[in-house]
Amino acid sequence: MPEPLLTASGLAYTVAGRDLVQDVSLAVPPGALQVIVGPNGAGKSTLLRLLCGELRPSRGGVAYGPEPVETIPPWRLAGMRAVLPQAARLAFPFSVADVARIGLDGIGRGLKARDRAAMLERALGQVDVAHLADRSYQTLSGGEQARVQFARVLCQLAAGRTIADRQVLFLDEPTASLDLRHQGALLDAAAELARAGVGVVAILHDLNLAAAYADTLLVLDQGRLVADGPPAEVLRDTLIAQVFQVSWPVGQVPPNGQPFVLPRRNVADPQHS
Amino acid sequence: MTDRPALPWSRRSLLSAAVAGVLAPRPALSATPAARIASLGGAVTEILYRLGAGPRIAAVDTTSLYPAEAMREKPNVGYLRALSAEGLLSVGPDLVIAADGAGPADVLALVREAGVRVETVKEPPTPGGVLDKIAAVGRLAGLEREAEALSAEVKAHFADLAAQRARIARPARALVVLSLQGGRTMVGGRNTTADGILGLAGISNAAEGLDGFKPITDEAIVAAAPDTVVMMQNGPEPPKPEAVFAPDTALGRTPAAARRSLVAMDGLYLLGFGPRTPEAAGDLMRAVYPDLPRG
Amino acid sequence: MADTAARARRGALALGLLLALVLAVALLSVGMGAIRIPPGRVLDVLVRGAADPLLARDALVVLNIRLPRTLLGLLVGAGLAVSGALMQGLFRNPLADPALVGVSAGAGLAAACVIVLGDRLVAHLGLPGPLPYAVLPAGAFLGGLSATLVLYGLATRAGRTSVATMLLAGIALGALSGALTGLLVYASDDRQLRDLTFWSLGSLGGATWTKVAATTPLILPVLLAVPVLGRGLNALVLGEAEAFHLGVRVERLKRACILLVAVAVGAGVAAAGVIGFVGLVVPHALRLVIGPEHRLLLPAAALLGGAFLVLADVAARIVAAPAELPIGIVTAMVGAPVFLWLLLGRARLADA
Repeated sequence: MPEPLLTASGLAYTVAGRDLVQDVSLAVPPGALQVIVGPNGAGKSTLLRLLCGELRPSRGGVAYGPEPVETIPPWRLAGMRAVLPQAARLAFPFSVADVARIGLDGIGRGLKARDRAAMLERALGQVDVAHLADRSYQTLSGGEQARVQFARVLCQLAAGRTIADRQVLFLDEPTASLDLRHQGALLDAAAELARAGVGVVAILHDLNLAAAYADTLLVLDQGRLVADGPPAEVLRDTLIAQVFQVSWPVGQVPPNGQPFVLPRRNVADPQHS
Repeated sequence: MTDRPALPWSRRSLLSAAVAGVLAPRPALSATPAARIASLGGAVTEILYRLGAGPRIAAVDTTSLYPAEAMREKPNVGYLRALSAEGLLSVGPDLVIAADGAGPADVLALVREAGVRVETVKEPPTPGGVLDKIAAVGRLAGLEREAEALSAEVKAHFADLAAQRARIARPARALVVLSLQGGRTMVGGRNTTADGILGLAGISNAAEGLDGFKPITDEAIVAAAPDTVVMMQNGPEPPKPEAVFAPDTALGRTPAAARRSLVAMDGLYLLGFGPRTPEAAGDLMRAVYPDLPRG
Repeated sequence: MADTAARARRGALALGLLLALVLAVALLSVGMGAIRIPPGRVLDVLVRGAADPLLARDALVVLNIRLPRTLLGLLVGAGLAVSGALMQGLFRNPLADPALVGVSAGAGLAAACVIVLGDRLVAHLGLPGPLPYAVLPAGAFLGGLSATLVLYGLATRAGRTSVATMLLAGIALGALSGALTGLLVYASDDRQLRDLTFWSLGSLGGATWTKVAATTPLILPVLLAVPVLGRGLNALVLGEAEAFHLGVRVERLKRACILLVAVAVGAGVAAAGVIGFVGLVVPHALRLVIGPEHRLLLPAAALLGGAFLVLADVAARIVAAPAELPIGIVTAMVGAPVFLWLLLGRARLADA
């Protein structure tokens, strides 16, 4: 296994006596897409915020390579990792191109205008919003907004590559408001970044999407990491029942054994009672 | 030029040259009486007209309501306490006589810097204050003789007033009401021109518990129990007793309401503390004590 | 690629036009006033100074009254408009206003204290009165600054400043100082009341080189910081966490904005009284025309804010000459209809 881009050891985060994250250790290797799953309130977003340096852990630490995250100046950190947030609303009518360009402004200031324009154009095209470039972000649908935010993140990574060769991308429920085609397109793009050496960490709610895209699945429950490994090993009937508290069966798609979870109605059946 | 402020750092040498240029051709100002006077303050304007300096007045302020031609004929440079330097200079005065409190101070300093003499006169609401004011304005306008004559006349009137006042057996209580806007009654308490004029007219101030011009509560009005209400008449119509003493109001429950005793007088006449003050106090006294034997 | 270049050109064009507007308005302000001085003479005075004794009086009016007044107007207007834009960016709310950080409330309370209690205090201490005039602006400045520092302290926990707490605490503090000011109004006499009223309506009258010299070092920092703050505020538009992800030191940005605004607005209030509307409307109107991008918006706000205030001042001193109107009345009376017109024009455009 190559040297990890990011290591977290013994992470804990406590607010008002409640442990939101407890004793989580993990590593983000280059070139892999890791997916965090877990029920509501499991601490997925908190874990993500700890990993990206936004929150300081109560115990434990996060390091990018050899450097503890809190010692890295924000501008350099911005070149080393990017974060796609959950739906973001804007107070001002920025255009789509303006929003995406914000991703270039931090680290890309030293770049030539020509290179910046190329990065912007490529990012907008990649997420299929180039035709919206002059529209006001505020007038877009939720799904379109999410794609623009992803374009902004792609810009940040592209600019960041000029100062950092080891990068991590965090995605917080990136598919929540997307239609199926754009869900696939976004995760394909993330997987492609992973192939190019970026360490990708995504929170997903849809276990089937997670199973399809994850190289490694991390299952979080009540702030603890309860399972991690390839989806085919992690997704079992018992885990689904324990962690998600539903008795939905896990099946496998024949050719490559990709697991899937089949929802089942849980209304008492009068004939069997 | 009595008061030349130190030049601030940012003034360049050429600018000092400008100031010097303005100042140089002007000899001692007191030697020749000012030809163009900016008169700021109701009483100041009134005194200047009485001294016969009306034609020399170049501009007045918004409080210069008497004589009526002052406002009609002279440029108005605005409210006494919110003057404009260029506005004041634009009327081309060589002397500014301002009532105490004219300003802002920066504006007056600029006007002084332009070589214009700026003088302020004090305004205590007493007979002595009125006489001093007449003397001061007369001196500034170079009309000492006229001022002495006016002062003697006003002094005599004050003496007559004092003699009449001595005949008052039992002082009445009066409330000076400045405004009745929006159900709030604003009255003159201690240390006001209202208190001063009541004293001159031999009337005791029913609002002596308040300091300055203040809104007064309904209960305090009833407790003050004024025998008379004194109001300003600002328009052509005097305030009507039936409105002031409406039955459901606090003023309607005072002895003044029972006696229908309401005196309405012009604001500047009543509270201006100018040369007409003895007459104003006399008018007020006769309105409140109609049975007083005339001196 | 063409898009980026066109944008830069549009931005440069907008700033160029605004700069031309500032120069035109400044010339107008120096050239017009209650005293009629022909434009040629004004130019003579500006170019040749006061060397010619024949020009002396006009030189005094132009160089000592109109010029400091114009500069003070440009400075205060620019400071207010930039401060408004900064606050709107920081609070991520287009309705935010420098008043939100408590400056105006604190300055107003301090000014009321000086106006109503100052002379009484001097008399009580047996000092020779009256109070030096500089006490009022100095007090207003310190009052505004301390109100902001109190608010900032209230809203900061463990090194993080919550703008939401600051907003709510600002409303509470505003109400409190409003009440205290009311108490002072109650205790004031007729003259003090009129002083308070005029002060709260604002005026550039009484502008002197001393005032310009005292105000410049306090307002200039916020204007000089403009090129540095734009990028951070753009990122902040996405949210505080997102701005951090993009490499912005968010807490430092907030602290810098709040302090710069408190100092600049405090100085503006001290020099010219409370002038409303500029901080709210100038950035808003600009957003409608040139867009919300802060790196263009902030310098544009500085230029338009200065021009707007000076223009309002020209109107204030010409309409009632030789008297003058309080400038706060003019900014609102001119600004509100223009703003509504812009707003409705934009709405119609969006509906069509």
